[in-house]
Amino acid sequence: MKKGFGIWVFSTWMMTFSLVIPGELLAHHGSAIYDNGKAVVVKGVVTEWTWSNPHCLLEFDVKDAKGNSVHWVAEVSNPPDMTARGWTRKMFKPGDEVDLTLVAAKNGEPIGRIVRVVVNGKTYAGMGAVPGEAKQ
Amino acid sequence: MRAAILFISTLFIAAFIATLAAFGQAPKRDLTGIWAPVNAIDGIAPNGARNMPADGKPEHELPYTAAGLAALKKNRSSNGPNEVAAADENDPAHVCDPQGFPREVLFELRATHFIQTPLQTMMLFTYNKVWRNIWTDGRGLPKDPDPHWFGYSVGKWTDDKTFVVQTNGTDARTWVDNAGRPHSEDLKMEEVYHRLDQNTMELTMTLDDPTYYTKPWVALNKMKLKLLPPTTEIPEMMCSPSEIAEYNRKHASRGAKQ
Repeated sequence: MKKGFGIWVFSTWMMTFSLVIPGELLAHHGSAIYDNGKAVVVKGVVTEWTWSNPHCLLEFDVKDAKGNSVHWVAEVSNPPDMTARGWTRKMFKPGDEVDLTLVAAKNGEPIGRIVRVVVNGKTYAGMGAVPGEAKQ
Repeated sequence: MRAAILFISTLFIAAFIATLAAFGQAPKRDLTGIWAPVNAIDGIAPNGARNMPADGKPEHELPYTAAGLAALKKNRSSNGPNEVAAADENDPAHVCDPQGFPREVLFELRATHFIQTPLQTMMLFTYNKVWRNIWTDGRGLPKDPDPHWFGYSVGKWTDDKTFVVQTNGTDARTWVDNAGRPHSEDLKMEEVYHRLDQNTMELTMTLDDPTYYTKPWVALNKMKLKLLPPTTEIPEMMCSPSEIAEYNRKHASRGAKQ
């Protein structure tokens, strides 16, 4: 048995257990703009999904209480971090219906950070914990 | 049936032996390979240096001089207890200026490829695909260095498992870490890479900048790094001015509106 193979086996095991990156991270930009104590739950229709640094952005339209369409932009972390959580460049396409749990901007602008999203019947963890909910 | 059982048993035994071998002795005076922090958050360190984060705790207050405190107040970070909205910050790295050194190690330290030659050791970083070189040919630090984004580094082995790096000549435009801690051109640093075994090493980093800090402080204290498989594919993670601009236009600038 070559030592190199042993290293590979061990390291692969170690890497598998270490790829999970804490959910609180938004490494480059912080969370000062958000009301982090309040979860916002919306249903939306995707208009654009941008898979890039420094943070991936999901754009979607939401019907407000009066039936008007409001255009939202919500962020998650960067592609390498989101890849480690099972997100992909092609996971959203325009027209997809999404159920989102967000923290939203304090100033009322329709921007936010995705904590959880359901698309095509599959649930994905975003960034951080859902306010008021125990961490998964 | 017996053959299948024998085959599976052999596989398990082989995997067990291979794992044991992996715990073996480290090679002498060799850091070659791809290393990453054991705990990813230790390397990413959004709130500042792992062992001295800007979290408001008294034990993490840095010993600023008056000049250091004045320099700190000019840096508006979008992370840490004094964070400002992304549109209001002035982080040089957010316009894709080089992070430089020591920030490249104190923020976003991810998989890092160490390459050794007889004359130097090179560190190839994930973030922004930048690298630094550490001279190991016996030369000393320059006495009056011109500033460089990554400074000037020399290293030597103090024993078979311990590689000590000295750095000076850094560019004061860079931040020490993601919390916006400042440094002057007088900053000197020591990094101690201590290999514990085949798969693990520890990194301790001490900063000494008498212009901005009244005494040396330890930014990393025995932070553990693990050896990754040599076939690890390091993801691309670049700062792109056009992507930053688009992020600011669509998102960050709107969060800063009053």
